[in-house]
Amino acid sequence: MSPHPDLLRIQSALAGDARSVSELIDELTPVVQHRVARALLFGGRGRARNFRPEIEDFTQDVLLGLFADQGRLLLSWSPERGLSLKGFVGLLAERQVGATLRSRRRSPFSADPTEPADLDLQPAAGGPDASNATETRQTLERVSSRLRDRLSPAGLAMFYQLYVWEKSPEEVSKETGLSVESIYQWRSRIRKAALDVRSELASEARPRLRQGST
Amino acid sequence: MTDWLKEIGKQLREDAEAGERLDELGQAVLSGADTAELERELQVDAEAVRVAYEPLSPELKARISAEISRSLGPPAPRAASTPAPPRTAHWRWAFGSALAAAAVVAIWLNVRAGSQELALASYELEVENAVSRERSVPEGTASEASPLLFEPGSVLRLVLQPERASHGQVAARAYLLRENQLEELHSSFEATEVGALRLQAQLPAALPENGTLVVVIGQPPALRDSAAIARGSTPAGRGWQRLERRFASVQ
Repeated sequence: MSPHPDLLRIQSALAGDARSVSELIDELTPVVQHRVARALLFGGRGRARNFRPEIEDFTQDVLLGLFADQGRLLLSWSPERGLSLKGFVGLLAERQVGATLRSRRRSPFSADPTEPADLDLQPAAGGPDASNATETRQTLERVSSRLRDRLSPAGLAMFYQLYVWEKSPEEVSKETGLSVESIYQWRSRIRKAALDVRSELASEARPRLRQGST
Repeated sequence: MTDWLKEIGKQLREDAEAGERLDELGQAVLSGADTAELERELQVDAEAVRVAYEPLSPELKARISAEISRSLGPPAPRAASTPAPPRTAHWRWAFGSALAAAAVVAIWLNVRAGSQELALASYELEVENAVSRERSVPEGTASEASPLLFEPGSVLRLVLQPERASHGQVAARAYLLRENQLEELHSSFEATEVGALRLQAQLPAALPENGTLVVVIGQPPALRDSAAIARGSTPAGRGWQRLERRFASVQ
């Protein structure tokens, strides 16, 4: 099997070949720009004004971030994991922009600070009550955001395969060439990370709720 | 647990689908009626969306490319191509048995990089498609072992395994060396979380009758001089390691 051409181009770019860098930028810019636009528009920032400068800034930041640390993020892409390079970069772009927007909203100096929503979270380590708890969309979004921030690029790609695109471990194994056992291990790691996130959010919510009630 | 993770997946799937519709709106590929409908459905202003999706200017893309190139540093020197003798048809039967053997040959190096911050774990090189199964000897005596047999034009499968888990970033390049003529192989690699690398390297169709396979592994900045490292005989330096194995072409 020949090495994937996108991998060859990434390695050539990281070795300092300017033409490969330009080719990658040409190819990846649209997907990054579109994910940035989605995040800004759905976040309500672009509904009634021209936010073109923000689009350009975010797109540039994401592209530079892909090549930072000698291309650490780009090198974490593997064609065998079932995502195209563009699909993989799109996920990373979405995650980075989402994290930046959330951190701006959390900042007391932000122009449009958003109050954290009340959390209806049960302790994750609990029994049947915890596993059957009804989650609000807002709560799930918070868990989802933090979980995606926490997963490695490879873990993020696997999370999308298993939970977003709802592929079975057997299907993912077939597509990626990884063993079924390995996919089950990934699933177990993702679940553990999700439980950790849920516990953290619940413990962060408790003091705030107590404070509010006194 | 499974239910709420599935619910998160469902939300993200819906977001992705809405995002795809927004992409269509932004790229102005819809009719007027569809645009108006989508504008209402997604609660966005079509003109703001169109402006957001307007492609970045070539000048901005050139600036981004230039900044990235600057951050990556100067290009690594590339080795000259080595002309090889024409191949004959006699290798075929020999290579068939070679593949059946699926031998693994390994080279152990017990070297350390010079500085603490650039310390690199000692790596073992395994060449998966070689003729005989043997565990190789330490660097310096490896050349006494039998040469590996390589098929011209095939893809070599190499595994670089650290002696201990290593979490720093590493990369690798593969070369063929014969009488001071160095040829870099087109290769790609995949790194694991513990620092192992699986490398696939394309052998040229015109493979020298014999020579040395050299693999340089290290932290990316150190690999800018990988061609010079490959030409040399020093087994390790600051943030890099050089592994080699003699080969013969099956022809």
